Amino acid sequence: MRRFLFTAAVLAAAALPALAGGPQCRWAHSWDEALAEAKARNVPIHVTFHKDG
Amino acid sequence: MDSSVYANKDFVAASKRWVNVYCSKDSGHGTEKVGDKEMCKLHPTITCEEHVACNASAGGKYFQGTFRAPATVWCKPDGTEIGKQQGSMSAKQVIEKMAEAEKVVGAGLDSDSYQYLLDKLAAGEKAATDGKTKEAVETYAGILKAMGKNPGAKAYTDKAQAALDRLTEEARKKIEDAQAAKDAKAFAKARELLKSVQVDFKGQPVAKDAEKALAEVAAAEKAAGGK
Repeated sequence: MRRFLFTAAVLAAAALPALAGGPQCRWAHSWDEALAEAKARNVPIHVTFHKDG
Repeated sequence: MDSSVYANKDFVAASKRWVNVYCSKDSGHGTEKVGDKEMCKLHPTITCEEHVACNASAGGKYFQGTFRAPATVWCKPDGTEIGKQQGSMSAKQVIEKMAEAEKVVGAGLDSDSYQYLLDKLAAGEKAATDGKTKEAVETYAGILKAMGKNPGAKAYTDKAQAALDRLTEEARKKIEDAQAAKDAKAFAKARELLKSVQVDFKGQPVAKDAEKALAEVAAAEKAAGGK
């Protein structure tokens, strides 16, 4: 189990720089900024949540 | 989804057609230095404080109580929910759902075009304020040429057209002043005014008017010299 966790941690750490170096989605810096820009551009908002609420 | 969706090149390309908000109250993944700022290690274009704040702002709007993450919501520009899904989605699924949202919202601007328009309108305004009329005219005319047929850009092309119209109005006043100078036999002054319109507004209809007026000045000067 410890070996599995170690391997998973190494793989996750290795994936982070790759994620940062590849193509990147541009995220809004705040909810208000998102609303203002979506209105100015007349485009939908894509909201994604990544922690159990 | 962090690595399977948000780093997917098709998703990244499609995501330019929407505004994207990443919400997570988790900051345990750490940060990395980008320039002189500590940015989120998962998404280095935002800080962890920003995605935590987005989570606080948007979380309660779409889910009551506990919900299963990851969760995705697609909404109208004012934040009104169109649809949502709890659980992981593939890049293709997110793109499809967002395409449905685009149909609901109608014609819009992709982020590259939006940035282009903001930059160019600001550049045109600065050039006009600095008295660089030729540069301002070229900038506004460039906006109209590049974006004139994009229905999502209408609000911005209208601004560019209005700014170009204001400059053109000034050019027409110069032509009137030149005609008055011609009538007063101040031919050099008339030529100077008209040539400035020709140069600054090259390619614009008002430049043709200046050209015609110049011909009239030349004829008047010749007639005056002949007397």
